[in-house]
Amino acid sequence: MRSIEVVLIGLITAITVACAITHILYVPIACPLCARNTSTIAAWVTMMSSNITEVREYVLRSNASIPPQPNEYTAPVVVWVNATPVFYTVGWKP
Amino acid sequence: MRGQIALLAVFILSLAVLAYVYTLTSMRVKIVYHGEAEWMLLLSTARHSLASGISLDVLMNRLKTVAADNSVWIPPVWWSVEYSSNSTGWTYKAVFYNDTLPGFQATFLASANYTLLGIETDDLGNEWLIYNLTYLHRYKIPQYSYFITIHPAPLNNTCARVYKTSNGWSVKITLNCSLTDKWNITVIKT
Repeated sequence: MRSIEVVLIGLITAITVACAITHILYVPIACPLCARNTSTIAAWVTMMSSNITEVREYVLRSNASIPPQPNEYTAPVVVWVNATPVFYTVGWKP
Repeated sequence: MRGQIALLAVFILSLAVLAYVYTLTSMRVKIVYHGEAEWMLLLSTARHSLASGISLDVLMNRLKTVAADNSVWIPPVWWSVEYSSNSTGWTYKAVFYNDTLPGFQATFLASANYTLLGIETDDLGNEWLIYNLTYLHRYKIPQYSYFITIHPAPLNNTCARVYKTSNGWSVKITLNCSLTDKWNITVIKT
């Protein structure tokens, strides 16, 4: 086998392996992937809550139920008090 | 031998291209999913506008200002509001359109339909209006391909008596009472 062929096959194999690893681990985009669970929970909290106490209860529950994730991520929820939005955060730390 | 190697090379290259395309597709999906909580903020703002009677324009300005102070990203949107009512109910619908992505929109819809079944007088002489009520909320954000429907939507039980039925509510309301839901939206005003 000529050296050019070895280089070619080695290069293609390296690219394939790199793509596979990237695909499996989602290396460059790990945070948005991991964010989805918390973001979904935050969306539900915003939708279902009507006051601050409820948000706190949801946050406690959701923190307890989220599995460990490699990235820190937070998502906002909002409660309206008259004409003032009050923001809270649902999230986790690794 | 060379032919086999070339074939193997083409095969591996094909796998690489497939993997790359698939990764790109996954990225697109994930980018779309990112931000669903922020879109839901808009819908809860529309809901509060309906509950409070404060215009959506005012509330959206407040939301953007306070969000910026809290470093919260708000999707770039414009919006429309429709409200219709008659003697048997009302419908409110707010739609948020993305400035830059056509077709990328979120909707909040609340709808009440009620039928007056009769008037009842109790032992104390209080008059109760008896209604059959269908009341729902519907939420749709671009990240979901489906509506989230709360039907029947939860009601406050302050000056009304609320009975859950298979497809809605049966309510008894005293005169001068407003039936409200969990978010203080007035459902029926006597």
